[in-house]
Amino acid sequence: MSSFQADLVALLPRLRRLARALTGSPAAADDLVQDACERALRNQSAFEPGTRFDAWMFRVLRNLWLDSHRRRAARGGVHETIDVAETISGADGAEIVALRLTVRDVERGMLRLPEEQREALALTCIEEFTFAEAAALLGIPPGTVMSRAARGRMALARMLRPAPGGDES
Amino acid sequence: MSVTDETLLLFVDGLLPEAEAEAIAAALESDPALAERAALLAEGRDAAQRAFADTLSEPVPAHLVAAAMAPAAGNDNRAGWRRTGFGLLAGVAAGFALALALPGGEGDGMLTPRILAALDSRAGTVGGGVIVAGTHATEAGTICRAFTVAERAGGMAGLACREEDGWRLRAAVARAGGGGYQPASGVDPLIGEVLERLGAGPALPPEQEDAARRRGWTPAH
Repeated sequence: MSSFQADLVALLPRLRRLARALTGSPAAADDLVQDACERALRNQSAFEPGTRFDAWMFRVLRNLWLDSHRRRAARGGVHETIDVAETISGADGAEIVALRLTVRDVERGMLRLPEEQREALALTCIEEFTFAEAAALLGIPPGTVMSRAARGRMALARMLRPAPGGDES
Repeated sequence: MSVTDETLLLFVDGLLPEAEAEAIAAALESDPALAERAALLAEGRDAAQRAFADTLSEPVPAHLVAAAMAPAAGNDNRAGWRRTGFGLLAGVAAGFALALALPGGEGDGMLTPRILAALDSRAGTVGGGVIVAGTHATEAGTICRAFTVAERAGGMAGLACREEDGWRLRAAVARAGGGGYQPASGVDPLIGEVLERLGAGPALPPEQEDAARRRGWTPAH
């Protein structure tokens, strides 16, 4: 096993976490991680030693996620992830009421965010990249990451609050 | 006071310089709408962090470990183990027990020359830190050998089974810890579980192991 592969194995738990946050589904997340590993191993010469391996690998995973997301959208399934989330909500709705704010609630909430807010939130809140690091990873200005993360965080928090008593502003 | 999302975000995350932070804190006192936005920013962050906090400690499925270790085409990755991955691999052990079918022999890159040398010899220390812990025959008669590899930063336990074209790695468990890998007694429990699924019996006695070795590890019948 090369050091590249050893680094990749060591990064798997974090790759799974990021993929879970992006896809909202454990099974889809693991498929995404597997695809990302395969692509990374094929393209490992593109990694520059001395740079951050986690950022490079996250970018591989994130690009794959966006590709498949856009392919689904092109096939007419623009709201596919949201439909999936709502189906799940109906299926286990009773349990959710009892458990209050569960992991599934948050995952479902994340799925309702526009993808650029979701990835900004996932990288800066969950993976704890700084805004500057996330900006470099995504290839956009830090201010853009911040405004996307801010909108994503506020929207997620609103979704997770108990249903208002009718006085929502 | 008009405060942008970006500034409020930095405030909530404790990243604003002190003077600016104090100004925002003062504005929050008299501006309920601003206070509400700050509360939402903090709630959204905390919810996302809490929801995914446990994901890191979940065992990683074996097929993902195999995918990450698959030798890239054209690369010779048999040079040997690097220690980098071992520390974190300890948490992966539970998933690894399910590595019954490493696809297409992709795990075989892990069978280094010194492990292969040990697999072809009698049980006992062979040198290079590889110890064959026991030899087992599966239901189908296939010979499998459990082994451990000691590394300074941890070690691994593995199970290799003899196929027509050579040894195939069937399962591997990595362990972190100082002082090298110490098998408590006999076979690692996870390797034991894989042996059970293969329908393998207890370790063969020395004379049967010798006979299997003389047959080139082929089935007895």
